[in-house]
Amino acid sequence: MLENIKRDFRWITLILIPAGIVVNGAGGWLFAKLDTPFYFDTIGTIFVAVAAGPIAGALTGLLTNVIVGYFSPGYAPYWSVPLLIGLVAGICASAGMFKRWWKVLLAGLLIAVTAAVASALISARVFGGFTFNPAYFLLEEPLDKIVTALIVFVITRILPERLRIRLPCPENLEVEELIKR
Amino acid sequence: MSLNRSFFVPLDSPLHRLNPLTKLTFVFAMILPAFLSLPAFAPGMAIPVLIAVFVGGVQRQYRGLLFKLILPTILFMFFMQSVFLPIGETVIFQLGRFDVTLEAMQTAFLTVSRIFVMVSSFAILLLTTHPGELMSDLTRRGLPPQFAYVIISTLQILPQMQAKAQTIISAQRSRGLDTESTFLKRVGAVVPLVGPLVFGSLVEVEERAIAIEARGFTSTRPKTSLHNVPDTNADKIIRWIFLALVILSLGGRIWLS
Repeated sequence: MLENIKRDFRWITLILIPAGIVVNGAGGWLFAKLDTPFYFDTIGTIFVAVAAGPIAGALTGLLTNVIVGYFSPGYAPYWSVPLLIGLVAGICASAGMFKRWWKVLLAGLLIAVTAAVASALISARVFGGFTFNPAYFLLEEPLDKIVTALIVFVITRILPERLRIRLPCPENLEVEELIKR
Repeated sequence: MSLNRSFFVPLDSPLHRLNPLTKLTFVFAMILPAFLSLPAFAPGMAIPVLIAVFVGGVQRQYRGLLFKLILPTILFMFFMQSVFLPIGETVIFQLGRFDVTLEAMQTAFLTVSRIFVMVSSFAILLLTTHPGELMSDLTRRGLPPQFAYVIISTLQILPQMQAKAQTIISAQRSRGLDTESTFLKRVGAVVPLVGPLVFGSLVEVEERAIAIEARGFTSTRPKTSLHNVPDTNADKIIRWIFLALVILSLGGRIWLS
């Protein structure tokens, strides 16, 4: 476990995390303005999770929530939701689910289910009421997360080679191990 | 959500002169008793927090935060919890088909006062402490510099967020992108907006990576600091007092329950 954390946290990860937070914040703001059914406030989290592992992804989500939550405290109780999104996305990525487009759909669905269940549980706890909103559970959340996962997949495909080889994602680490040997 | 606001107010008050760690201890000495000690304690913790606002001389800025941010949220939460929490028997009045009970209102008041103490004490820390000072002091005490880097650069890029989004949307509109008409056109606008957002950030990542390497951030040798953050004996005494208060309040919880 500790070995994994150390491996995930090289200096490029430290630069990716703040960049991911900006992408989350700016993306969320941008698409709230555009008024589409997408939130797109987790592109940064999922990208960092795919590029730098689950722990880095979870940290990106958590810090985004802390920052956004400070400006609108209504978000603060939901701190565990983006954390879980980053974690699940990172685990999906290390299971090789961000390599084929149809596996990405499944990964997006997994992330959406996690996010929907976690936020429903928190709403029930904080606001004392639980209202099942089918449009949110069956359409909005899966649609948003699947499209976000696809966007991240496309980004990792068309990323310039000189940048891709620097990312601490599983494929690169395998290559590094081979070189070391 | 207005993101381009810097919190720190440069003043010369007793609170500004304290060591950053002392102020951080103060924050936790307020939050821990409010959340973990006897429920009757939580509203009382608001008093030392408000005193600290006046000691720090940041009443005006705090009042702004209070009315714009804290009060709307806690009033909303108080309303939601007291109406929808399905507990208690003593019905005070009815709202539609929901019973507003005394017990639900008490729980709501407790939650709200805890949130008030938490947000307010962090606000005081941010209003009276320069983030760079806080981080350089904590790094000197053994916080991993990598962690400090993430926090500091996050705080620095905060004001950029909205500006970045605004730049992208204006640039694409000037090229004739339709962001306001039919649903399908707006969905079609997603690609030309996501592209610059993500790739622009990745270019920044590359630039920062080069800058960090050039400045020897990855070097393992001990580093010196440009700022010297004072840590007086008074700071140490205050920190011990806060620690004692936390232990006392938690002990009181165990003792009395």
